[in-house]
Amino acid sequence: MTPGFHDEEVMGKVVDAQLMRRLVPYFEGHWYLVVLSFVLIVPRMALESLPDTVMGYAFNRLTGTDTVPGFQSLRALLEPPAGIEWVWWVGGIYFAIAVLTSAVELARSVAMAAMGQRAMLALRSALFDHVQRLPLRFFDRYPVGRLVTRLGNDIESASEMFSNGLVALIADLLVMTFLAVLLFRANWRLALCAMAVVPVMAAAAIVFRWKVREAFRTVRVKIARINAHLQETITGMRVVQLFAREKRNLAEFMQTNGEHRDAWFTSIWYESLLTSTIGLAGNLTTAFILWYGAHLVGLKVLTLGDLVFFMGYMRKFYRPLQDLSAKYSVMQSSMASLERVFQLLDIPEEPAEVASASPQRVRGEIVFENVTFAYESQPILKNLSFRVAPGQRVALVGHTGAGKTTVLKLLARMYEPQQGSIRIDGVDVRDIPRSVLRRHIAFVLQDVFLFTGDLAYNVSLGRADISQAEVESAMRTAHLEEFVSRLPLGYRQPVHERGGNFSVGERQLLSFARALAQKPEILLLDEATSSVDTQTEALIQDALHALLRNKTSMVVAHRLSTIEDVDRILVLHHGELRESGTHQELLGQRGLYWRLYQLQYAIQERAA
Amino acid sequence: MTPRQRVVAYVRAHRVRYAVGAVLTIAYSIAFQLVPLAARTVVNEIEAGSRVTESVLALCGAAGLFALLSFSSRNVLFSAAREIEYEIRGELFAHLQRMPQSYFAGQRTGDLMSRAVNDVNNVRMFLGMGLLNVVQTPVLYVLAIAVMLHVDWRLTLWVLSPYPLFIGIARFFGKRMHNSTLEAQEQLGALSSTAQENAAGVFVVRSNTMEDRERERFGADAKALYGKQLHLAVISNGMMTTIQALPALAQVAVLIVGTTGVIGGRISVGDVFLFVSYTLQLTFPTFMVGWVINIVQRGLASLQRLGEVYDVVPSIRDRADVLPLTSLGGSVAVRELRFAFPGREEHPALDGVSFSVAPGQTIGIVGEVGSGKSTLVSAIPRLLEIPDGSVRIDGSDVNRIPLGLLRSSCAVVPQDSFLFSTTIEENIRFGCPEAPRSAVREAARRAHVLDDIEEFPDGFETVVGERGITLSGGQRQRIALARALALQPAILILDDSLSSVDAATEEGILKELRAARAGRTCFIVAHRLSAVRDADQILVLDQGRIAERGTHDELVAHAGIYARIHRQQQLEAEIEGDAA
Repeated sequence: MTPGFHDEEVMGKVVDAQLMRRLVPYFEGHWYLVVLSFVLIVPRMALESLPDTVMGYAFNRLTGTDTVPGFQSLRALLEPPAGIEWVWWVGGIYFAIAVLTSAVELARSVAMAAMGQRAMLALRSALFDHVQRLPLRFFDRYPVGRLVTRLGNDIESASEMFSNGLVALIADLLVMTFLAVLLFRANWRLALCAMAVVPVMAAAAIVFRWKVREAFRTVRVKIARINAHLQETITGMRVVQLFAREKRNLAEFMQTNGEHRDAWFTSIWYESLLTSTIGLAGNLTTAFILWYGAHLVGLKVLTLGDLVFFMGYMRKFYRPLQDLSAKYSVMQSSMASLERVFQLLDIPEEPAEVASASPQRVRGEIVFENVTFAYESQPILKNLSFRVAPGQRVALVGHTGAGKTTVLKLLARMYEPQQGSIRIDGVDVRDIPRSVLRRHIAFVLQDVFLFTGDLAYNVSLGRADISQAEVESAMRTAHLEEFVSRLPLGYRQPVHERGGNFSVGERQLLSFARALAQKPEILLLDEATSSVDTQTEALIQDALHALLRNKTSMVVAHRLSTIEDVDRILVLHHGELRESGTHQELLGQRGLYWRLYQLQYAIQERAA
Repeated sequence: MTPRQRVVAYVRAHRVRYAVGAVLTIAYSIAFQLVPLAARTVVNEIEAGSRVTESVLALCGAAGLFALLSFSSRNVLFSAAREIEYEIRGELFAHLQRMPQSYFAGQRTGDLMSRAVNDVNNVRMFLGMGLLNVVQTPVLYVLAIAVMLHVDWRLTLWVLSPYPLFIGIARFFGKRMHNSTLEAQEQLGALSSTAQENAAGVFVVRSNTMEDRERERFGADAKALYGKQLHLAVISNGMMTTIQALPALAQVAVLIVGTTGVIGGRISVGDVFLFVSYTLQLTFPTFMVGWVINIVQRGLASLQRLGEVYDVVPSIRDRADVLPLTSLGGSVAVRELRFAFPGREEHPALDGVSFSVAPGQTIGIVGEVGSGKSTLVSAIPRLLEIPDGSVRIDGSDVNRIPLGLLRSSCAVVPQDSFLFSTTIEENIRFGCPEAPRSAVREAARRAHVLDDIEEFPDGFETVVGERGITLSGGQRQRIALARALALQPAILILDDSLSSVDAATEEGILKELRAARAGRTCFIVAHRLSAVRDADQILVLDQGRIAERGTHDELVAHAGIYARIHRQQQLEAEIEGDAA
């Protein structure tokens, strides 16, 4: 499934106080940006209030008075110095204010963006860090695509809150309050008249907003359904066509599609109503101010400049209301994204380790004692016990699902058994920190995972303590020298996503080189079953011998040659140890191993 | 059709709405001029000390008209765009349903989804917001300039003087903005790939204790993204604040030139007020220009991408020479059937396959992975494009049988047993929506899934799939089988569809199918030979050809591929049996 389409049905609150509180720690170390973003609102407020004062002053001069609307104290500043026309002086001041406003706005918006992006960087890193600590079981169930969406798009969407949402909203509210205070200071009667429309407006806005919100909720649910239906149809197209279901399926789709459209019609209706009502309110306020103002001008209580000043302020007062709806939906989707991010952060990490042992070297004695393990409810290993002496080479054989690879995974503590204990050199693995334990163990899996990066990186896996010389020597031992010499960039040859540019055999050998370079004392190998040409097969067999030298190793074996060579064979059946011994001993027993061996022969004969 | 032709076609199909929209938009642009003009009169009257009531009422009227027109033009045009979105989406859906299977094999679901979601959205934006502004903004400007010129041409030139700067600003920021956006997008892509790799390779990461190094890698990506985002913020906010400064510059011009004009007695105070109003009112449309250009470009690109889907002509549909059939029996004849997937012509999936089946017979099909088993059974219900005459049912060429009839007489239980996210009942009823509950139950019983269903708390009402309960592989396969049985088809095709069902249940199902056969032809593709043991005829495929054919006993005696597979499976069974 493509993640994200269904998630849309989760409707976020516009402001979720709890989520906001959880965000606080991510501003740590960057409080100066937060302070700056808010402190810069003050000069913005001041600068917002000035142009209309200056404009009003100009109109006053034109009509024969020289009062300054709003701020009498600015009078001295606006009085031109000797030798300069007042027109040019006032124009110059107006220009200076405009430039300053732009500068402050730029600084403030950049500070705001920096604050948001900083916090998101911290959140994103924390989320990734968290994911690194989640138990492996988590990944069995959580789709990779969804995880990527959380780390990528969801955090991007959450960051919108800072650039377009909450902080901008707070700034708008502060500016509106400030303007209202100034209006009342200038002339409370006129201010009262001008503001008379505001409660009516606010009521209308709330009602329409509520309607839009309802419609919008329907829209979100419907579009999520449309996308889910579309996706399901595309993936299940074979079935749709086979059962001649096209007509009915289309009818169902058009039903939802139509409901989605109708919800939009409602939304558009109220949205248009809201926008034009707010515009109307602004214009009516202007008319009202002009009408009542004309009366006051006639009484000589007010000047024309005061009116111009009032109208300018009112326009500014209404402006934030216009794009409220845009900010609203930004906030809503940011909050929903943030909620999803925190949900992932709330999944418990692997418990902290109370490890006491951290061996520098291990000899490689492995003991499983009464180990029982289940991924889900079905037990995979049942009361399993065995011992591997240091330096021994052991093969695990058995049917698919017998629990062979699980044994390897438990040893490296990729999963923890429900019962029993696993010991290396007599120390319970649970007492060894995972990171220390895994340094002594190398895993070679059937499916070789390659990282983007170059060949050398895929061998050293970025470990700083593995030198270039060691990488090269490991690759030589794994018979990759000739292969590398044919590549234009040699060891620096880039590996594309998931190693698509290498053959199966080359990937096998690379995984051997990787294990060799890590210099483990214990090697766990899940032999590949995929067939390669005989020449590559010979190279792989030879490299395998080199890899197994001087190590304790446990191999999930599929190749007869590997099985015959080992010191001991453990035969697993449905999670229990059925037989154990050397190849010859087990063949002599004529038991399960003997049959398996015959089966192997049958398959290999066929493949040949 | 080119994208432009498509736009014309859409607009033409909705010409009434668009004509009304255009008239409303022009009326809106005219009303846009009335408000400042009325305000100017009032200001002039205040200055002269005369009565203002009439003019204020006129202003209120103008404001009301403006609001009404703004409301209705938006409503009409945006709704038209949503209507078109509805139609495009429906068309696309219907079109996809007509595509052959080979089309979906070459497409990624994500890509098709992105076209249906993002591209349809872009087209909608273009046909709504985009067209509205393409019509409105120039009209608005022309009218405003005409009014201003009429009042005072000299002041008009001054007021307009900062606007050429807009071109410079657009030039300067446009390209940087574009590049910066692209870079940020790319970095987000890189970061997502790193996260993807980390999650997909989690086992390797953990087993090699690479967590710290992975943190560094991801941290570097995140930091780079932070840098790019910040850069983008500086550029976009820089553009925004610069553009916002333009009307302020125009006002400086009004302030200086206008005031001088009033002092000189050339113009009135109200005229100056008119110019101030205009500079404010034109800010927003100016601001929108860049955005609109973007919407138009994106819309055209998306139309092109949608066109790519539309331009594929569905090949599997009822042909002109369709036969007037109303029912089909179960005899199937395949003659010299050849089929190659597009791009793999040198390795045909089927290479001259011939056989025939009498009604009521059961045909087993076995062979290695990739030997052509699934392709062969897909050809019968015409899921693939095959040459005329190579597959006949009841003597009629499948290419000429009405598709509806063909598909309802020929039920397939596909390999992946895909179920839809709805109730079990709806899933079983999928091919015959009118089937009564009793028929659904009977189909479930015969597919040996009735007991399972009844154990669920909601029974047949249980929702399965992504948002429902998770079924086991065997349960899914048996429900898919019930879905096919509910059709009561003349031909039943099991495409390796009992692989997750345990041996005993499989045995029971096969027995049930045999008992209720009643003339039904049955194809069984299987890996496990136990499923085909009792078939009337078994075909062994190898690289697209029939390598062996005969009954189970004949083939075992023949000592070929079939016999080898048989020996191996016997051994496996023995080991299982031994251990149990």
